Amino acid sequence: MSVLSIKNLTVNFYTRDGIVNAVKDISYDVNAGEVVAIVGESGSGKSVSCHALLDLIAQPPGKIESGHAYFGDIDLLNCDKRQMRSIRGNKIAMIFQDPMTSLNPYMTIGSQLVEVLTTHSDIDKKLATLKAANVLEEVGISDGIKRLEQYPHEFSGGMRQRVMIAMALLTEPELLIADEPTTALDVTIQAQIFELLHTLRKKYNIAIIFITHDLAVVAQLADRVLVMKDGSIVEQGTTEKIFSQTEHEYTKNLLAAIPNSKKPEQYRYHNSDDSEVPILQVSHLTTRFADHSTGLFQEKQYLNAVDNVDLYLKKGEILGLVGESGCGKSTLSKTIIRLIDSHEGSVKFEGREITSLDSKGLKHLRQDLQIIFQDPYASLNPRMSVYDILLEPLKLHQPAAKNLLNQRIIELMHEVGLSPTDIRKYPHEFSGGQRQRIAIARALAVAPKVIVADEPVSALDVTIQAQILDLFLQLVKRHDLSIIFVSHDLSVIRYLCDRTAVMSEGKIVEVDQTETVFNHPKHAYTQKLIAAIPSEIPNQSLA
Amino acid sequence: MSIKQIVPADVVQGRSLWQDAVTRLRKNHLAMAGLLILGVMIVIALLTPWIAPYSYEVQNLDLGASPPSMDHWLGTDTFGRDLLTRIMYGGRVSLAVGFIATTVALFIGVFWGAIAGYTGGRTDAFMMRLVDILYALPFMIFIILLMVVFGRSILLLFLAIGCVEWLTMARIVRGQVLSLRQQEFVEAAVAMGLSPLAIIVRHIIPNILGPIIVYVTLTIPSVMLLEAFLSFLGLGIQPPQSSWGLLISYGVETMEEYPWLLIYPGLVLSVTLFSLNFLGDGLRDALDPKTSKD
Repeated sequence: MSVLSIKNLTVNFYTRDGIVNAVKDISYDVNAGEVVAIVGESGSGKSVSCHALLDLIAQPPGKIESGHAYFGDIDLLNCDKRQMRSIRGNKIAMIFQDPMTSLNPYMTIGSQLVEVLTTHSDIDKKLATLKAANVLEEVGISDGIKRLEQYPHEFSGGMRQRVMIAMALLTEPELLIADEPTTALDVTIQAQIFELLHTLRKKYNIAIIFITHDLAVVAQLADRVLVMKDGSIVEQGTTEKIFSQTEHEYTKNLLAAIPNSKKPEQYRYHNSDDSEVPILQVSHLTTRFADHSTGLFQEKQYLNAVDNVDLYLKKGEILGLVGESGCGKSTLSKTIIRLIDSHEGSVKFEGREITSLDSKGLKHLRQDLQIIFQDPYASLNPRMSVYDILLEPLKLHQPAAKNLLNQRIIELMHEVGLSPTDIRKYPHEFSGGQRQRIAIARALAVAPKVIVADEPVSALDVTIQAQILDLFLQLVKRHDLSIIFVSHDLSVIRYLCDRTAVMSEGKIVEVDQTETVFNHPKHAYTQKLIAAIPSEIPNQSLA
Repeated sequence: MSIKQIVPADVVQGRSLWQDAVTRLRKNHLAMAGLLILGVMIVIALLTPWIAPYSYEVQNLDLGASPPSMDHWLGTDTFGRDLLTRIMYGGRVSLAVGFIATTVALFIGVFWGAIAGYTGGRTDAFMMRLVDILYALPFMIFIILLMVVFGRSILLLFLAIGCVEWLTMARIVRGQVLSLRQQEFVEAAVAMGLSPLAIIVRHIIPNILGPIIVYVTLTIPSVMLLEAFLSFLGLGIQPPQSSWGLLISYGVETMEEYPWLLIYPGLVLSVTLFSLNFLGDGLRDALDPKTSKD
């Protein structure tokens, strides 16, 4: 029996650049107790198609052009606001991507949960509180009554997502729409959330629509898969069928883009000469942050974000740095290139100590050590054209005649696979992947020897990610670069990196050849991390 | 129009933000109209001594307050002085005080706030405490002190007002800079080896132009009214000289008998402020590459 039946849904957005067909004539059914995954890249219309059901898209510019969505005998697309409110959050619940922003920071968890109940029924407040506490325990938050008194900031990311799920379950909905619910979470937490969704579905027979860009996640959770591209459903079928008898070209591309193998032989690092001096040698490095919670007259407490770390990086090598959020991997990488000052220990670049450099020495060092950031939307100045962005480092470090600089900028654009005709555009006129290419070009501009890449592909779609990873490989080969590649994504690390360092609570717990780390993890934490990777995709023939 | 953008690879030229802004501003008709009106007003103010129809100070007590007529287009005030002439002379003072005081406030405020916000730590604490102290200082006493020490002059009045108005600007800018410097593109600029001053000028200030411009368009009228207030207390300019603020405050007193003494100066001030706002909005949009596509 189908809980939801969507017929010919079409959504357009009327923007100043013309009409955008966000969703084109899609139809599908969701049965009770079934998990349907909608897979697609950003801009494929997967979120819009679900938000439209609950009247959650801004109109204008959005407009639902046609279609029906029968939820029982109510047509969601053609019902009045009152009816919609009685369904929204009650019969159909939604979980959003970012648990950090989807809870109100000024209300306790308890009052937010109770509010959901009292809005939709005439329930007594005390009873509602009891029920809320019950549901919290249900989603794995023990000591429910006590936790209700707490504010969102007292919960970790994974816990907040549990609270969101609890909130969605409170009213015993028939359908749960989960919009990338684990994208912002660490891999071990993600595994726990999946576990939870699994149990809950079995117990309550809830239908779940699971929106994601991650095929590995789909394989683990979904019964049926819809693949969306440019607003249309290009392929649908049972999970097994999608993975084993892939029909559509686009789905094949998606599957092929998942990095589930090692990088090609010619890009691997070969140098058995152990006597070679590493280009970067980190020893006993410690970075501390003052803990502000101590009083004025108490002795200052410090938090070791990076705790006595030893690492080395050889020329031409890619070193992976992996760990969960808050483990100190970003702090470590910023300390290495001296964006943050260290407290103890040494960092030697080509044998030279760099932790004590003055501002003049530092300026020279910046030429050799560059950084690429995670978010290509935030790491480019929105008020500078690409030309200005690339000109700035060149002018600073390699001043030359204007036509020579222009020449160099065009070379850089070619090198990272951008068209030089786009040189006058501003960052917002590019897609995420193109922006990351601009950021890479900016780092390359000064011909650095070492690049620290801080989660450079985590904000990108899987096919774009594959392209950027290949770009990294080519650049390493061509310029004999050494890279420290920070990531929380283990499959990316496995594909790209020659050696891998695993970080936990500020310490490096394990560092070895990548394959050794993945196949024979020694440290308990590494074992836990690797066990949490979403299980391998059923069909290996594509790999 | 936009198809012509394909550039031959060897003659690539970058556009600077400012060149782009000018192009974009030109397309904004409201902003251009505002600019035109302001331009005309400034030209008139500059030429007033030569083109004013009457003298601003010679009284004609026989005439008294007369409504607009062929001889006196905007009428005369209670002393029989031509209102048009007095508005023109008043414009010289009001426009000057508006622009000079705001420019002073703008420069001190933006740099003070940006340096404090960007540097952080003790420097920030020290610079902002200084701002707090100046805030706490009664501003009238400050201006009276300045007048006593340096004697009364219009230029000093401009500076004094500017020196008071920059405090708010500094606070606004600092707040914006605090959130901006967390942004990765600022970190990227540090990693590139740019000096702090270059980062402030090239990366930070262009990104806070929006709030700055809004605040400037709010400051100019408040400065003009402040001048009227000070003049009313006898600290600013004195009759027979005039300013828009003074004309309006006299106009309010005689509003019931001689409404034109309030209407015309008020109208001129409103038109100026409207033009400023349109220009300000236009500039804000023009300086943000995201707002338009060409």
